[in-house]
Amino acid sequence: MIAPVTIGLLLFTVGPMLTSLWLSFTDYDVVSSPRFVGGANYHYLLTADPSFWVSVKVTALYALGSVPLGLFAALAVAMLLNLDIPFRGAFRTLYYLPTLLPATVSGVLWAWIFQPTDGALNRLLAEAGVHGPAWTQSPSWALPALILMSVWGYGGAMVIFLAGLQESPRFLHEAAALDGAGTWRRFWIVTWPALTPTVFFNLTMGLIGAMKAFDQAFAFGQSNGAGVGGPARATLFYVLNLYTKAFEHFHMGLASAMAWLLFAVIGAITFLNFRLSKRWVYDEATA
Amino acid sequence: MRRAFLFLTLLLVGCSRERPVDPLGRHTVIWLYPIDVGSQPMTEELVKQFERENSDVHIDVRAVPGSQYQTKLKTLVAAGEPPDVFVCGDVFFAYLKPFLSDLTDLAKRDGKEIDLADFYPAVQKAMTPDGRIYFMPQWFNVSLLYYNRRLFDTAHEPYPTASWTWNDYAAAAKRLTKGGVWGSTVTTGWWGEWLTLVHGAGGDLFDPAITHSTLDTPQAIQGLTFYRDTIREGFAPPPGEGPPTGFASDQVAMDYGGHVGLWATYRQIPSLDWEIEALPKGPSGRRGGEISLNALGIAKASPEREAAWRFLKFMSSKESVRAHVDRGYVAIRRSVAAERRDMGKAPRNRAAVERALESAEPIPSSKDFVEIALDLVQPEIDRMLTENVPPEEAAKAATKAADAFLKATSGGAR
Repeated sequence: MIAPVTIGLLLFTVGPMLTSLWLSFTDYDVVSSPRFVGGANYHYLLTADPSFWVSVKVTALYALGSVPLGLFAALAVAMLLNLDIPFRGAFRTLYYLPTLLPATVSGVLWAWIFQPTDGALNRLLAEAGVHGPAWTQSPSWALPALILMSVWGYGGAMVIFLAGLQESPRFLHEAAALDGAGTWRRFWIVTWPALTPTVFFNLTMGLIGAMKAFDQAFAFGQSNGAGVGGPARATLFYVLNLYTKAFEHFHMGLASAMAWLLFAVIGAITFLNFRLSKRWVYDEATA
Repeated sequence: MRRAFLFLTLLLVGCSRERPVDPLGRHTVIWLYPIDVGSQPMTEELVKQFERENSDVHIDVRAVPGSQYQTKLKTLVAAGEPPDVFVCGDVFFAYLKPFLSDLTDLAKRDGKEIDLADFYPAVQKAMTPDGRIYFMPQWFNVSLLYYNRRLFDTAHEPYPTASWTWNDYAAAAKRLTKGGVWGSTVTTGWWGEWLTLVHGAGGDLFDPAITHSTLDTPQAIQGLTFYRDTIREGFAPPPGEGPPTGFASDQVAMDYGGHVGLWATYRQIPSLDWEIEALPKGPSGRRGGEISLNALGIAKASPEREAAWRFLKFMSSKESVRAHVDRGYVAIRRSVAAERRDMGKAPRNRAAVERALESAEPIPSSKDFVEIALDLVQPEIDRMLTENVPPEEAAKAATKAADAFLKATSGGAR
């Protein structure tokens, strides 16, 4: 039973990974044979490529903005949907629905909403007497637009929070209430500690997802006329940059080097996240 | 023994470059076709007509979305299964050249039939890079100045002429900008405008050998400054603030550097009263516009070179060019242009196209041109337009990025 799984893993995961590691040290344009160039790809990326550090910065800012915002929105909505309200099931479905929409579709949809002159958002702002920015065309506003857009996809994290909230021991809530704890106090001393493993899971997955963000930015750039990663590289996410190098310009060596650098960074951040989690994640087994 | 014979036969067939004929005895030519909803009916009709006239050839049209065309084509080439016929002749020619069949021998053999002299001289020049023929064109794109006659009439402005300079254009655009009307417009994310202006000022993106960028020369900076000033002096809206449909909105008086491919679109807007002129001359005396061809080439590895060549000849024939003209494309053959079959439609100033062609400049012949222009230079230009970065600074940053790329790629990084 193990053999087919192992063969699959070796052939379709480990094999391509090792191949891409080898390719990261080559000049390879797909149509010619790879040529070994040592560390030239890594050297170019880290010291001369004008898009590499920009895409690192864009991705880091996106992660810093979208992950906390998304977690906050998901937790807030999950807490509301955990209340005993009429049509609770229908609301849960409705709030989860946007997650089912392909990211490219929501990218196009939001590009319309953010359209500077005729978009819904700026029209709404104009009604309130505010001159909205050129969201899709301004290098200063395009990334905030994408961060706002990302919050829409909180449905997955919301469902996990909802499950976490339902795991929160009812007897502890009752005991705290009997001791005179108010709503906020009960949240901080009972709900939050019980939720920390869920928060940790959503945070880890959210950070990894943010570092691999691609499809929404790809669709957003293509449909707003600023070009992929535009305007002026303001939405050039790391993986979008990697994709462009690989499949637009066929620099497979550079793209493979970028993939390995990303792998190393994600590994390091996840490791750090796990180490730090010991300080704030409640573990019933060790508590 | 029989098994061994069968195995050997299969092996020989497998190794052969010949593609077996289909059950109807026809040679199959695979054409990787970029989907274009507007011209698809015309293309299908042309393919049917070719097959009627060449009953021993079947064109297997493999349609691919335009945005994925290059990726699909390069992947097929990499897999050792290139299509027999594919689109080239444009900015990707330099990249595709190693995989293209040199058609010079066939063109010489069928010289009378293809009648090269019937193509405009600028087209002939563009279709014979390094003096050889690698593709046959169907239509061409050349940069033009589009103008809105209604807006010019309302403002009592004389129409643009062939003798216009940048100063005439800027002065007219300023006067036309009033009451919600913009004198001109800029397009971010595309090299078509800034490179044209850099040429017009006497500059260029690269040195002739394409070893380094020359975008930081005084001439090139002059071109970029003029581009930036279209916004700073108030006659073009900042990116994102003008009408979303640009010139087609009927609120923009001129579009600098628009291509002939726009004709079909503008003709579909009955209220838009538009005309064309060759681009104004820059301080160097150059108009600076570019020319690119939409052409078909044959894969070097194609087992159906002869049948594919017949298809290419047909697609560049007068008959095909007439069908293209009826569809809104500009005639690539002078004889078809002389028939004036679409003269009832705008634009009427066809002499402007010939003027634009006379001075049109081909795109630099580098397989990295698109990457350098769009990924390395364009963001700096866009920053200049949207964030008030001085042209000198934008040019310096773009040059540095392009030079670093050229140096790194010549040193092996890819």
